[in-house]
Amino acid sequence: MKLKPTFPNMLPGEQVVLLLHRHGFVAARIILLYVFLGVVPAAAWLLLGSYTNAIADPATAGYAALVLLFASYFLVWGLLFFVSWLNYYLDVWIVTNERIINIKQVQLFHRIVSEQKLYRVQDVTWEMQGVLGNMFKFGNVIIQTAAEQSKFTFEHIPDPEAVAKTVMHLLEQIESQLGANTMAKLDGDLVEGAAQPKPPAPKI
Amino acid sequence: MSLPLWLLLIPFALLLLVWLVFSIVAITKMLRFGFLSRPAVISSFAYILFAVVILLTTITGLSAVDWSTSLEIGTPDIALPALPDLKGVTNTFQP
Repeated sequence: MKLKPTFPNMLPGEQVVLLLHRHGFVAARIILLYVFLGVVPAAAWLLLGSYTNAIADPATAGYAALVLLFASYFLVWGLLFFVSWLNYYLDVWIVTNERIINIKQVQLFHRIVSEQKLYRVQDVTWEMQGVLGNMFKFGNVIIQTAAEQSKFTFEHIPDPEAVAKTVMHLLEQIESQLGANTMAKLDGDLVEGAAQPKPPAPKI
Repeated sequence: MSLPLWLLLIPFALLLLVWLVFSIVAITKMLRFGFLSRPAVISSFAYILFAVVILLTTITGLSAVDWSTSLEIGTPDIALPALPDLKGVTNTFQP
């Protein structure tokens, strides 16, 4: 869990309460995979130098081909590593005192940003699955809202219990500020709004 | 069949071009959407540094190559050793 004072497109008076990334264990898995994929060709290069004459003479065609092959491999390896890190790091969930913002970096050219007003939250569920999840204390928080996109899932975040409690606490604060009657009216409006057909598009 | 060695540089240059485009997009996205946070800036800088090291190493490695030579493709010219004369066996491999 990390506190962050600001982020772009903040509303006036809005404060960031939580800024969440996936747990470091997920990042460690990516790093380990790419370290392995980087060590294997590096070892192959050393073995080629030790046991063969393939890279002994820099003037030969075989040497040039090998250098180009290894350079291509490491450039692509570095790019894929960086993009994997980017996909990890740019998956962000932001909870402010007004909204929940879900930013998902699916691929390099695929980014989904969705947000929901906090007062629309209906239900908060947290879960920790598996041995590793319980050992490293990471899991999911599922937030049910009364909106078109009814479910927000914070995936593999650290300490899901504390996050769920924080969201519930914020919700209680909003309820106490607005009053139970207003919240009930908002809930009723949302349910009615969901049942009503969409208004016709304005004529141009 | 023999090919000029410099032809190997063409696919490498194409790969380098694609790699460069993807790298620029990735770094731009990291800096733009990463809120210019410390990990975003450090990882972008580390990636650029890594790329520069790899490119410089490649250039250094390739500087000694004689690009005017040719790359031999096809059946290698192997000189078989002369087999000893065996009694009753005709050595068909000898010229």
